[in-house]
Amino acid sequence: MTSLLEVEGLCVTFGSGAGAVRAVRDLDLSVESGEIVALVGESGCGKSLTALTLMRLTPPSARVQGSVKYRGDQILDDKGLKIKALRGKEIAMVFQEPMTSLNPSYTVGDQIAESIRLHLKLPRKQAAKQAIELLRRVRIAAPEQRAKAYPHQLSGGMRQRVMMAIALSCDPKLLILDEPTTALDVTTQAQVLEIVDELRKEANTGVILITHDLGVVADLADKVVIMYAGSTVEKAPVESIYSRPSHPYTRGLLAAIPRRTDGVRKRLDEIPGTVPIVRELPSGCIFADRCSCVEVDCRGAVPKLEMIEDEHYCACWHPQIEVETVSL
Amino acid sequence: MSAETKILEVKDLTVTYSVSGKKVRAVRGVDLSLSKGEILGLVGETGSGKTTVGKAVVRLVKPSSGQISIGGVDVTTLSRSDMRPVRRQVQMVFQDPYSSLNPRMTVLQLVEHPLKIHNIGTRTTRKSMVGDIIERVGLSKSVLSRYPGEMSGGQRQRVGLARSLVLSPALLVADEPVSALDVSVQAGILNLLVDLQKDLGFSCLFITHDLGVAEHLCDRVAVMYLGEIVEVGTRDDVLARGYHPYTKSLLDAVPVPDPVVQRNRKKATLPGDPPDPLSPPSGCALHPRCRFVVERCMSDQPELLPLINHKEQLRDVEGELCRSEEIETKSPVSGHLVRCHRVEDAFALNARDAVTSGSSDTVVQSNKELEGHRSNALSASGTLDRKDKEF
Repeated sequence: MTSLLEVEGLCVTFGSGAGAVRAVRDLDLSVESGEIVALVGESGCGKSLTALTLMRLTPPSARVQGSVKYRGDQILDDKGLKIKALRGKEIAMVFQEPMTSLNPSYTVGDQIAESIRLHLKLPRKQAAKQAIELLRRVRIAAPEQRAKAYPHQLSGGMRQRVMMAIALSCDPKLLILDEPTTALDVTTQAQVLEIVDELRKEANTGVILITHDLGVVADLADKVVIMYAGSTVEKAPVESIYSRPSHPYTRGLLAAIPRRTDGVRKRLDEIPGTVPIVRELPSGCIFADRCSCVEVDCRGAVPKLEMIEDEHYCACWHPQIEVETVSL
Repeated sequence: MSAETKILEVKDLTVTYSVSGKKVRAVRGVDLSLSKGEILGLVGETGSGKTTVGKAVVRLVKPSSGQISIGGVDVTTLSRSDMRPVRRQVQMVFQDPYSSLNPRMTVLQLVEHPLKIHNIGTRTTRKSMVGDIIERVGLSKSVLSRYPGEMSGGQRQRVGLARSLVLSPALLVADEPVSALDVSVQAGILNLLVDLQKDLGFSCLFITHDLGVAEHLCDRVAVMYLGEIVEVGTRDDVLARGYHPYTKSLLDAVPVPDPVVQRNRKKATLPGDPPDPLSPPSGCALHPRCRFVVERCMSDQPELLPLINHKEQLRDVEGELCRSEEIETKSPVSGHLVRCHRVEDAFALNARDAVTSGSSDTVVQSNKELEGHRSNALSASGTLDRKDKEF
């Protein structure tokens, strides 16, 4: 069976020779229809760059290697012609910042209709009608009036839903969401997440969800890829990530989330130091400098992503595999 | 609560902005008070007026009406020069550690600046004061000669904290100080804030949109919606259950970082969009989005009333009394205030939902899992537990 999207050994490099910066290293990823795969990490871990690379929206200075197969078909070609035909139609993307990604001088209705006219070759009137339908689908009240509004007349939540409407305009099979709710309030975020969940269930769309919010991941994702400084450090089904996090970085991320404690104000676990600059990665394990359970051999060679249990991969010399005593 | 003077007392604060000729009331009749050493969380979504309240407290915006007293002194009418000594008592930390530090000043200059303005110490004593506070916030003295551009976001936010605390203020207004930071860095800043607060004993008005952060840090919490406080009380009173329908839907909307718990939760999402502040809804500001709305909500504006007043009426839909232990033991001075006509019905219905969602078996089961995960959860496992016994 071929996956909807199969990424193997994806590397993105900037510069060359001694000054080369490998911003994404050896990324493997597969997405099935109706599945939500979350790419999780902190600023600068390469998660957004991965999305841009899949859509071939990287700057010309980026060198991309590896294989990206969409329905078994290699789309990482030299000239980017294959992805051009798919982009916006079969594979759609929603960007983080809805204000900068919408054109301020066109009405949102026109902007939604644009991609319908381009890809589905529908006449203007029909496209406008469909745009209103799409606005309704993303739960915007009074869509007929809203279609005539300019982006600045809408709230942040509505703008993000307009972005969703544009992405959905041609019924994509794969949807890439880059921090879709980061700029939104929690109640609006909940509405947007509901739309994504519905889409996956009803239209069987495959989704790559890029986020730093482990709450959002817990809500929606099926599989989780944790990235750190360009590399995948852990990859597993969502339940395993939360119940048996094995990489010290994943464990650190989960422990750093402020949460309810019974009356007592407990100290949060912090990860000391900061994310290394990708140009100056330490030798050996990239997390060694910040790791709480670092040992001498961690500084030697780079640990490979290895399977530690069913479908659960971890790139660590000393993964913590002990199963917590939970009676499930 | 003792009768000691409050560090901060805000009474009936209203702030009006003028937007293209129209008047927008960004803050409407807010009352707040802060005791010594207390951390009060001001929680709300975009446009709720929480930042405006913070700015009004440090007099960065001028209130249209109302009164703000700091350490017992009414500062609303003070002149610029009379305000100066008060400013020393109140300091602010900003959200964005990138734009709030002058890129052309070194860390030493940045942190020394407030001391210079207030004519404190000599050059050498100032330098040692700056050195001390810089070490207090977890940086080494070697950063003193650095520029903000050479530092990470977390380090910059530490510099921002040092700059505010170098004057040993009685009150710190922190406007979303951690929302621009990654979680692992955020944890460090929150821990630091807790430590510093314990050592230096300042009070803190902590403005945030993140309920997890508020829950972790604050002693008391005030929830704002469209310029008004809709619920205020101790952290446990407000955030454990959410008596006000808006607080409840905020709590429900925050995803819990645990897939087992998160996917078994009953989530009551708030429909629609926040109202336009240029034309606020009549009656209760929440009524167009509230699932408990009755006619009265559309016409009468509810007042912020102590929850104790509602105690006797706490019934479920069939009119059965369903008072929980917690409500009965609540003393009238606890200061848990809620602005809702239907708080008793809303609370009873929400409590029933928590039990009847799916089968109650799954709730009990997920409850056990909750404990197993030694978690977690804004959804408050305790709530489910107690309600199970009642029904």
